[in-house]
Amino acid sequence: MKEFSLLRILKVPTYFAAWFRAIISVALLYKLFSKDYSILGYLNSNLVNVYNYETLPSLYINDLGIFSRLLTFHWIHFLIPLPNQTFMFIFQILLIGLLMISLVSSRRLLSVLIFVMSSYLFGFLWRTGNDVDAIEMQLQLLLLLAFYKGNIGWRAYFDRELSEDSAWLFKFCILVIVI
Amino acid sequence: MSEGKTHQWYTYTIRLVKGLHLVLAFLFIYQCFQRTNPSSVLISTNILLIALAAMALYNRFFWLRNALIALTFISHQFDVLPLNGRLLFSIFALQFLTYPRVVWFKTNLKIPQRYMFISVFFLVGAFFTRIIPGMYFPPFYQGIAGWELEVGSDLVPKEFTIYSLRMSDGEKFSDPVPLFFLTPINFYDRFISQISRKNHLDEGMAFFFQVYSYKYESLKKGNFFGKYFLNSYGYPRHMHSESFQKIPGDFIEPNKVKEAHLFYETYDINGKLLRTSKIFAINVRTNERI
Repeated sequence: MKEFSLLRILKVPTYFAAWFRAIISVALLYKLFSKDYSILGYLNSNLVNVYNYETLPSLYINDLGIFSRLLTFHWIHFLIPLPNQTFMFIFQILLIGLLMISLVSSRRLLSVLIFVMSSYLFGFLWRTGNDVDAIEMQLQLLLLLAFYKGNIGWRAYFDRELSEDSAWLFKFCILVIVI
Repeated sequence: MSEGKTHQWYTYTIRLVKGLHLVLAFLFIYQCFQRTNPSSVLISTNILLIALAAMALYNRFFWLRNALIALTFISHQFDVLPLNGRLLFSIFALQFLTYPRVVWFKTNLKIPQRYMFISVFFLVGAFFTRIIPGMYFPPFYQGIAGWELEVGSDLVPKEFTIYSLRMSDGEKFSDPVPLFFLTPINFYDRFISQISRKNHLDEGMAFFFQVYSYKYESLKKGNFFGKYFLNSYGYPRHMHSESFQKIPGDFIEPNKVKEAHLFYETYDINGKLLRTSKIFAINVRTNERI
């Protein structure tokens, strides 16, 4: 029996995906232009093993730290040492540059790179026991873009053609924002 | 990929997600037993029921793409979100949105009616949780359930205590360096208490001094963030109560600083310093405890 899915029915204009990406990128750019993340380069390995579940064990689901490390791509520091301040400064500038290019580029690799780099950068906040700084929803939306199959170049901002890929993005966008 | 192989991957994905559900259910049971407050146990049980319902209803194919996203949704929330219904609802709603043929949808409803059903469900839920005080039904919340405090005049705090970092050149102390200068590390109090518990406060103080040296020029000008970044137009700091530690202040140049001291300082409500107690101090040249 053929499986019924709403995904195969709903269609959304392509420009939704383009403007969706633009909004996420601008929001992230604003955040990255506001704060100097390079000071995280001064942290040593003893100072980046402070997790929220240790501070408030009754409120947070028990995480052994390994989940955070795996999913923020901090597992790389099992192999190489933590970065220094200069690296972090360049990293932040690079991320800003990539976000700016991504506003008009249709490369999917760029979206993947932005997701990985943002997760890594904000992963330091997870690992120093901080509040997430309202980044969790934006990361989830970036992840959607990383998995997005359609082509969103600069022309897509004005493309009214209905597409299933946009519909997929639209649904998950609702999922992230409503929940 | 051939049809047989695709089917095999679907099967693996289903097993993975089902396993995940089981792990989550066990985690919630564990949390329920850990709690001492009866009302919170009640809340957890409610969530547990939903977890079990989601598990029972889960018998449909899950696209690999969706499964990966579900996994990341969950794991991003592992360390970050308090224990509430959002976690499970994210799993529940994922299939809810993509495959609506769960039990109560197994009817002859047409597609627009299904959309209407979903909309009405959310509207009614949201409406009742708004109007009934203290009503709590995941995924609908009105603030934090059960957190209510009646404040009378005798309960308004007269004084408060905060962490304070002061530099010293061996003779005098500087003005307190506002710990907001550590931004983007926003919950510095949590950070300090944890590294203190793990006996890494000396390294923490060395870190504070490094950041102080790096940001000295911008701190002197009254800017927390650094000279290349938006100042007061920037994204706001995720902290409060900064009115008593102002910048620009009387700070000591980093090359003249000999010691860094961390205090508990108690202020009255008008910002007058009442008491000071020392927590920790290091010699910034040798990074040794004084």
